[in-house]
Amino acid sequence: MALPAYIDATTGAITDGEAWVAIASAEPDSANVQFVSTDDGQVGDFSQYMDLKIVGYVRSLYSGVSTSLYLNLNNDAGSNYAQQYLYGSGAAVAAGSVASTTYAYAGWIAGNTATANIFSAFTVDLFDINSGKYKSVIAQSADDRDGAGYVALFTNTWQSQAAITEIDLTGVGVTLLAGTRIDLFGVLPRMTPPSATVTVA
Amino acid sequence: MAIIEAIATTYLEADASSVEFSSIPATYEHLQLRVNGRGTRATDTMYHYLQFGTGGGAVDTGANYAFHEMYAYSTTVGAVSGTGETGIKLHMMAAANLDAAVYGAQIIDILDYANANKNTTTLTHEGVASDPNMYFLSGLWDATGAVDRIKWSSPVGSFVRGSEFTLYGLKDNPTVN
Repeated sequence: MALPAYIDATTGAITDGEAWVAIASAEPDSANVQFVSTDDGQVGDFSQYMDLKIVGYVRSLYSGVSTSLYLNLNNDAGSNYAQQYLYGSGAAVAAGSVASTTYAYAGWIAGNTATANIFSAFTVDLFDINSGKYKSVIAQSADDRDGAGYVALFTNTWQSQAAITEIDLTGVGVTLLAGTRIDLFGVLPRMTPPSATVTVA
Repeated sequence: MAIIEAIATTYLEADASSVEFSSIPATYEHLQLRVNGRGTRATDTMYHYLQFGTGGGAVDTGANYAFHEMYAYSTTVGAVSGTGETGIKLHMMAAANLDAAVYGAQIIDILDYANANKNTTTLTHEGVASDPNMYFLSGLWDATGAVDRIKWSSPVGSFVRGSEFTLYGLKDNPTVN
């Protein structure tokens, strides 16, 4: 059983090594990508991380040129998510918000009628995932279809104080195309005495 | 050798008017700040300032900062800039009118911070969806000093208990220098 890299295998002491830990990767050809905490004290155990980060490169079998990528946490499909988004499409810019809906926005992704081999890029950051706060999620996405498409920024709040133990990414009503790649990283805090001075006044 | 290292984390155990990281090692190529915070301001987000220092001194409180931002408040979009500011103006601290469990998110990238020949430019994405608002902004410290001190403070309130600030250092590949 492999220990997390920040635990010295000989002494058992906590060290500060790589702050970004590769937890899991997915290359799906299904509608849904799911990451679940292993809850075993190993690399895949979400409970040891301060934040999580998702990096993805995706395309779907949606019948149009572009569709949405939704994110749900802990299998919660209730109206417990708030969103704010800002996007650009050609010369147009627009924004919107939703106070209470059933998903967080992770991005917009290329559909099946987009030019062949075009994939969309997105990143998602989930903050303080083991706290008793509502969880903050910010995302960026690039859905560029050579003369069309969207560039977008998102903030989301998951209105739950539960620790995050499951992440589901869903291409809305569609299958994610083979070639899609999604990686999940854990972001560790400083765990030993800091190497900079911290002053709180 | 780690490429991304956590330099310091502070998790506020009581409300605080400022948070400061100093004696930041110059051994990284870039810095990233990740914050999940809330303020005591009664309404709206609690805007605040980011200030830098160099040479082991205090942060620069002079009018030596600038910013450009794009923002979204619900369906309203806009852009604002400022120059001659006393800090890089940021916004994301959730205010006291929101549910007590709501905190805002902020990621700030500070590139080539240890270079003493370049001014310091920052890139920030921040927001509070429950408010709702979001900002994407650039910041400039119009000074060439190597950054070794970073301070958050606000003229309109304090950062509340539970706010979390972490500073990360990103190393380069020494084989390509």
